[in-house]
Order: sequence, then C-alpha cells, then structure tokens
Amino acid sequence: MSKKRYKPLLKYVYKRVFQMIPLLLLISFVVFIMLSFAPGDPALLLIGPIGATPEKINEVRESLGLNKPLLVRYFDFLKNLLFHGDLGRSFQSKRPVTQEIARTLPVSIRLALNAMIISTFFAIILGVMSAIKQYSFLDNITKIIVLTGVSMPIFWLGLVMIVIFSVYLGLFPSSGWGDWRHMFLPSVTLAAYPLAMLARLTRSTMLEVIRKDYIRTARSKGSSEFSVIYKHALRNALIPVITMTGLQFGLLISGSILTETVFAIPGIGRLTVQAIYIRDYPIIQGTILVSAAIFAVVNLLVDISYTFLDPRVKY
Amino acid sequence: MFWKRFKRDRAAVIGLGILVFIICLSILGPIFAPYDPAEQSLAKRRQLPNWENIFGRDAFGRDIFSRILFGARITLIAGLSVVISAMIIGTILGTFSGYWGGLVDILIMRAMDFILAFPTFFLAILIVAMLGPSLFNAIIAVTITTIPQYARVVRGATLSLKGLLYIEAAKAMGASDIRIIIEHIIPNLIGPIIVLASVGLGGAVIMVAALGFLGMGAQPPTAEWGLMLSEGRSYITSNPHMTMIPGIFLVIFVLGSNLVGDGLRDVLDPRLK
Repeated sequence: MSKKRYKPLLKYVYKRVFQMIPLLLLISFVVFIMLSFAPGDPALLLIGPIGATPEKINEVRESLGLNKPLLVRYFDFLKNLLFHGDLGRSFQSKRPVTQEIARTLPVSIRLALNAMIISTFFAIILGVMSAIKQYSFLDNITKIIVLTGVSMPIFWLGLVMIVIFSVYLGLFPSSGWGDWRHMFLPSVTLAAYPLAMLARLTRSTMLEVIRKDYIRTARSKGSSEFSVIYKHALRNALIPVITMTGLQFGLLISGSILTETVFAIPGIGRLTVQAIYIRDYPIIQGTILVSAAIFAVVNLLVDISYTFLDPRVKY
Repeated sequence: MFWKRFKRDRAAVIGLGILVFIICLSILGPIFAPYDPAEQSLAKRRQLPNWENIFGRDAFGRDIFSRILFGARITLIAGLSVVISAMIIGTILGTFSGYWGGLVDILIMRAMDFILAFPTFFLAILIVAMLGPSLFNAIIAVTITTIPQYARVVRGATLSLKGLLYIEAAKAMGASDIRIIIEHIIPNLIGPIIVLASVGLGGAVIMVAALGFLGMGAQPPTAEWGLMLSEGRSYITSNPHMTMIPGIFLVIFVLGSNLVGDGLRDVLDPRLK
C-alpha cells in the first residue's frame, strides 16, 4: 500500500483501538450494575433449598464477596482485571473465569467460522447465479431460500434438523461436540440466516452492477463473459457483501447462544445462558465483556478492510 | 393510493393474508378454543394429533390447538408492543437528536452506540437477567435492543429535512421547535418508520420467542409459542408434534410479516430495493 494511505490508516486504527478501551470499561461497569440489581441470590442457588439457613446463606455470601459494597466490589474486579488479567472465579465451579472462557470460546469461534464459510460460499454462488439468470428456475429457488431463511427462528430450525437428520435418518449426532459429524448440523443451522441475507444482498448488488456502463464497455471490448462477470462485476458487487459478512459476525455470536443450547455444544453462548440460570455473576460478567470485545474488534477489521476493497475510501 | 401499488405485489398480498389470518386467530381463537389452555390431563399426556385434539396434547396433557390459539394472541401483542414502543421512543430520540444537534445529539447517539456495542441477543438476555424472567421483561429487553435502529434512521431523515426551506419559513413565523417537529418533520418520517416497523415485526417476534425458549420470557403455564417449543423439546424423538407445531406457526407468522414488510418497502421506499 502506498505510504500516503498507510499513515492515516494507522492513525485511524490507533484512534479506534483507543476508543475501545473506555467503551469496554463502560460495558463492564454497566453489566456489573445491572447484575447487582438482578433478582435471585447466587448463594441461595448454590446451597440449594435444603440447609439454606440464614447463617449458611450469609456464610456463602461472605465467601463469594457478595456482602461488600457495590463500588468496592467493582473496583476490586477492575483492579484484578487490569493488573492481573483476572476475571474472577466462577461462583459455581470455583475455576477462574478466564479458564472457563478459554475452554468455551474456541468452540464458539469454530462454530461461527464454519457457519460464516458455509453461508458466504453458498450465498455468493446463489446470488451471482440468480442475478445472471434472472427469472430463471434457479433465481426463483434462490428467492424462496432467502425468504424461508430469514423467516425461520434459529432454535426451531436446529430442532427440525435434529428431528430429520438425527432422529429419522440417523446420520448425525443430535448433540455434543467432537468430530466433524458433531459440527455439521449446528454449523448449517447457524449459517441459514446469514446465507439468506447474503444471497439476497449479492443478488441485488450483482443486478445493479451488471447494468452499469463499465460492464457494457468490458463486453464490447470483447472480453469473455466469464471475465466480465468475475473480474469486473463480481469484484465491485462483493464490496457490500464482504462488509455484511463482517457484520454478520455479530449475528453469529448472538446466534451461537441458541444453537449451542439446542445442540448442547460447550461454547461461550451456552456458558452464558447457564451462568444466568444460576446467577454465576463472574462468568456472566466475563463472557459479556469478552464477546463485546470480540464484536468491537471484528467491526474494526471490517472498517479497515474497506480501505483495501474500495480505493475511493480514505481515512 | 398505496394500496393499489401494494396489491400488485402478489407475495406481499399473500403475506397480508397470513397476517390477517393470525390476527383473526388471536382475536377469535381464545373465544372458540375447545379447551382451557392451562387445563392439564395427566392421563392424556403427549397425545398425538387426533380427532378430539387436532394438534394433540403436550407433556402435561394440555390441548395444543387451544394453546396455539392463545399463543397467537400473546405473540402478536408481544411483537406489536416491541415494534410500536421502539418506534415511538426511537422517533423521539431521533428527532431530538437530529433537530437540536449539539450536546443532545452527542449524548443520545453515544447511548445508541453503547447499546449497539453489545451482540444483540447477549444484551437481551442480560436485560432479562436483571429484570427477572417474564414476558413483559422480555418485551422490554427486545424493545431496548431495537430502539437504536429507529433512532438512527429518524435522526438521518431529520437532519436532511431540517435544512428544507419550509422549515426555515416556519421558524421565521415563530413556530416553536416542538411544533415544527410534530407538524413538519414527523409526517415525512412515516415512510421509513413504517418500513422499519413492518420488516422488524418478524425479528421482534422471533427474539421474544427465543427468550421464551430459554425460559427467560413468558413463564409456564403461559401458552407462548417459544416456551411451548422448549417444553416439547424433551420428547422430540417420540412426540415431535409438541415442538414442531408451535414452531411452524412461528415460521408462518414471521413469513407473513416479512412478506408484508418487503411489499411495504417496495411501495414506500423503492430506492431501498
């Protein structure tokens, strides 16, 4: 990249990373406050209904540090995080939160990546094919896929997949995580909605681009249809598509919660949900912070990628 | 006049038909429901669809058909509540932000950016965690996550409308800011807002149902479709009808609202196509 664009881009990146820090701090604070208002006592939930005397409850609360004033607890948390990289310990498993996240995050990322690859690959194929041959059979099929894809709740789709492929056909396991067989159904389920959205976007941008003058020029130049479509049209059409792929990552992170719950996958989404059930505040705090951070980083990467994709964009 | 253009889009009309069907279900259904949706019958648990119970019975022996009918009402009201609340609050925030600018604009937009910094569903379950699981809190949570979209769009539209000459004329005549906003700016926003709302209805319904599925929304014995899905989940191998039927109705609802939303968008804002 020319030195002329390199420097302002770097400055932009620094600025964005700099802004991320107060944002994440604010997120951690707000999450902390919100959880402090949450109904339900973690100590009570840990002890269970039997043996829950007021003394015992208080004892557990002391050991979890829940009796200290709110701000003291927050600053302890912040101190641990910033100076020791420590997110605290799970109320339930007593293991460090960072360890739990390190255990579950790779699983979710793997799932999200699978889904992203599947959705992008098929969406581009479907989108381009249906744009080239508008009103054809393939175009109509694509439109139907798009329509059903955005209308299906992901948790229902997952259950349908389980019923068809696991129960009736017995091809794939219905839950768990291990080899590619475990990954197939959840990845496809998670990919459905992004696939539909991306296919629709690809189709409409391709349709727009094909009508542009420079395509006509390329054709009249005598370029092969293949080169016209792939070198000229697709490249320009892909810019908004790649942007959306990056933005879809946020949807994938969110969608992971439901997919992991349905397929019993040990990812960060399911960890968060279970932590909420038992009021395991440190875990909730940690997972939300980490997922917001990842979300912010991905958004930044998408914005940066704009410079490479669209030469008109300068920072 | 818009109706004529709308009518031409066959898919949109089908979607409207679906929505009308669901609305009828939700209004008339509970009156004609054959059974009490909460009435249990331990002897007839998990019955498959039959002549007595069109959709069968669930894990507690409750008639699924009646539950679907009551659930239609709940789902429709939940979705509409989310969309209408987000629309009102988002419009207020967006117009104030766009019209007055300055500190108000910065504060409001920072707040919107803050909400958008969370992955959407994570924020929703966090809000429900804070407020406690209930259908009402689920609606609040989904509304909060939806407001920024409306605020941003309205702000953008307000900014572009602000500079129009007739606004300047109104100001010169001494019209107050609020009056200008209400009489001049908001009427021009109706198009994009309606589009956002109709397209967003499906998403709102899915999110509320998802929270219900996780047990963070409607609580038993409420006949909410998402909750019914999760209740039927344990028996998915033997009695899939308990899970599949509420899910199919959810899909139908969302499909209908998406078709109508797309149709409305094509009529009201063809640029967006």
